[in-house]
Amino acid sequence: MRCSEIRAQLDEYASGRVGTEARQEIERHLAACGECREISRVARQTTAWLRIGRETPPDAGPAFWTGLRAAIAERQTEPGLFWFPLDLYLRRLAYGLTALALVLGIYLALTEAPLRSDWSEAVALDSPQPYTESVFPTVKQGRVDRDEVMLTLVTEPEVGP
Amino acid sequence: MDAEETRLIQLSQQGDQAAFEELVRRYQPKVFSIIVNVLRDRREVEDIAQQVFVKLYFALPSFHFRSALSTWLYKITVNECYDYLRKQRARPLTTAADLGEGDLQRLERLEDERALASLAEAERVELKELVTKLLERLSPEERILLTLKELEGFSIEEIASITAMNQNTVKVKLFRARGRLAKELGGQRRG
Repeated sequence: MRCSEIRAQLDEYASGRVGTEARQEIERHLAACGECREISRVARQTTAWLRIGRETPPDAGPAFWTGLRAAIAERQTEPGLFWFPLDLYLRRLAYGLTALALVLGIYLALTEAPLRSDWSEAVALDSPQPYTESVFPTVKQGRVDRDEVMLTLVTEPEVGP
Repeated sequence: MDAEETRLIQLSQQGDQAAFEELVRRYQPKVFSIIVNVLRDRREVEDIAQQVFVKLYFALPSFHFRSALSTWLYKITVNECYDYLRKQRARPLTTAADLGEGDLQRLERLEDERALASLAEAERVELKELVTKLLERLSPEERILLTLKELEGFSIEEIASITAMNQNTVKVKLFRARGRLAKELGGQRRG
């Protein structure tokens, strides 16, 4: 094994996480290679130093829990965070609606051509007929009702030349 | 992640604070341990841990069970420690005069963990302070990596997940951090 391969395994070797065969190969290499042996020595030594320097963590006292609850409550009263649970559901609803809109859009795009011909057949655009005076809305006091005009335009066929 | 933890996470995501506090109880010892061993300052542990768990509480709606909660939580913990250490680096570090020659020699004589067993308690306490002073000379990243690997027992793979580095990068940085630690001790000896 090359030095680079040995050094890549030194951490696992030091932790006892290599198999028997790998361990024997590493030890054979370390016996023959001064540089790798020094690297391994420094690794073991620094590990020992760090283990001496290990701090025991303190227990979580009442002040920790009080402080944690207060910090959470304080952030919850901030605008935008008040609706914390609702935010979760609204987010999921938004994702669902977006997916639905996408599916609907794809469906409409794929079925657009046949739909247009159905519609044009329904209003006879292929064979437009001239408007006659009788189809226009009734003029009352010089004014025509806007709704009547819109309804006329929608329901009556288009005028041809 | 066990079924109970999954249930607690789901309840916490719905705003159940009691379920969240149960999650906190599960992870508080490890989070405290990481913080105290990286920062080497017991006075800051509760404050930093509170920040970690508050962030976790409000980030939980974004947790989609694609990774373990522990990885996520330790990532937040490491980031908080990193931010704290970067702010602290503005303060003056330990000077060479703080490290006695006798202490340095004793530390250098320790070849591996088996030698620790022969140390008296008083000697252990003094050497512990010395190690803290040496660690202060390392970069925040080096301290965090060495702590996660040597004191918290994380594997290279776990450290890579927590720190978002690839495994080879973790190995190289650990190698350099150890070398730097040994160099700091040697540098102190030479004066």
